[in-house]
Amino acid sequence: MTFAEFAAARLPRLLRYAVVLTGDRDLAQDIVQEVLARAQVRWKRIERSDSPDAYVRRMVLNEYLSWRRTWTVRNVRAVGERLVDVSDRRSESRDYAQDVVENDELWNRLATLPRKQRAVLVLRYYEQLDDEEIAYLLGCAQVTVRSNASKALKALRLQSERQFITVAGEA
Amino acid sequence: MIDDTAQLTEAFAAHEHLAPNADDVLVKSREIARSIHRRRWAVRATGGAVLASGLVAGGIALPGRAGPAHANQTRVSVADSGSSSPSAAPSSATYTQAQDLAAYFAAGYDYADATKLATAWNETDINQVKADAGLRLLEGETLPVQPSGTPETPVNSDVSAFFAAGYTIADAQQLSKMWHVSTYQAKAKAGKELVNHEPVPIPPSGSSTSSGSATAAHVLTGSKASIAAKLTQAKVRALKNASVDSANPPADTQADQDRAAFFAAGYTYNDAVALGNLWHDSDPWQVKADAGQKLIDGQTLPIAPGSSPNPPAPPVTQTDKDVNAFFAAGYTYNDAVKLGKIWNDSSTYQVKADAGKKLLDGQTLPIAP
Repeated sequence: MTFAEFAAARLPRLLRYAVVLTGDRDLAQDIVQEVLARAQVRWKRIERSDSPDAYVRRMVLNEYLSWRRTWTVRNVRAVGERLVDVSDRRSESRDYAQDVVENDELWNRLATLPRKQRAVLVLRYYEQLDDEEIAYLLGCAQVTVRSNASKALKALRLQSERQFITVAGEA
Repeated sequence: MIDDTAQLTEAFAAHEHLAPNADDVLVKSREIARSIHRRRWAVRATGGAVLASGLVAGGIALPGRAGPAHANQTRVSVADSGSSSPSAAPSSATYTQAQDLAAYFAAGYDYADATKLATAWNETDINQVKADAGLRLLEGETLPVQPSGTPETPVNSDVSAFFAAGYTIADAQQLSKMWHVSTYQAKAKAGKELVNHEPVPIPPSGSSTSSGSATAAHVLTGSKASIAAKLTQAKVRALKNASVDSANPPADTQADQDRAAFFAAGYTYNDAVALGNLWHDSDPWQVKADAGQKLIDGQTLPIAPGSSPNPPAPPVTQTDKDVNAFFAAGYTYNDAVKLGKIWNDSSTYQVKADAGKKLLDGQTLPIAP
């Protein structure tokens, strides 16, 4: 498989993965661009791997986890806001059901998680990987994976409960 | 509340649509890949020069995208401070855009292929596409489009050299009449002579040379910029083969460039033989390449250019005399074959020698010439 064939076949799926992983359209684009460029330069080596697709997806994951921390810290709130904006713009032309609204709220809360915790959730619930596979990809122990997942879910619940209490109080 | 992990799965899936446009990402990733390539070449060039001389003087220029106006601009320029080592690397080490284009066309690609590549890569600048494709070929990569033409062979490389020296179709037609060959054969023959530093009977009508015979030295020592300005794409191919000031070429053309440098300095085949005797190397072809490499490295050779006379003619043997007598009597190769059948001798050469000896001895042969 040439790089061009790979890109033609896999890029859309890779971009969907990246946007779910990062939670940000622009960041996803930046990361995939960087990864694709590097993959193109060393494609001969990647092509010889067992699964070029898995190789590149792991490159995306690593790129996200090592992406400039300052950028992430500075933009973490803006990320959530931007996604709300995008979703709101879409909602103007769609009749969203309540579950979709809830998904957007959850999506926004996900944007506040540390990168590694978010990555664990994405790998577990979007990529449908088990903890052993996630541990392998992240280069950590399975217990660390479970710990990160637990913290992430707890944070999301707390935020959700806090939001619920706030809404109830206002009412 | 997050009561069900299915909600997370649903939330992720519901936002996949935010993924950016794949075509945009692909175009930008190619631009980044090009800059990575250029960084690698810069590092390679710098590293090579450092290894060669220990000192690197000069700068590294990393343009984002060299446009057509910079067709002969060297992308990375590393100046050598002066080599003290016999095995020092050339003073600059990278590909120019002219070399990129040369590699592109030499591989059999043409304009139509470039348009296909441009479509595949979402590029609009055809010239840039050709250069990028050439770079990839030089880097050993394959292109997503097969070449329409055939890769350059020594013959059409000679033809390219013919045009690179400033000759025209009219010159080729004139030469074809002189040599009684086809126009194409005339171009190839003249180009080969130019490459071998042999004179061509007529000067090129398309170059500034006004009189006298033309040699490859015209290509090599003339103003590269002025030549390049007149070169067509085919001519650029030949310039690539003849160029001696651009280093780090593909391995298979390095020796050719060394030999071109050898002849450009005024050395001849006889000089190569003389150098071979000094260096105990019986292969003049290799000697020319080695000597050319030394010249590129700034070294001097132990003999002056053109100082070697023609080697003495080999002594004429009795067998040669016999064979000459055979042909001098009007006999032909076919006659020798017929005589071989009569004499039950399968060696036609020996038959010619024996028959000639008989003739010299005053005998007659069983068949008439």
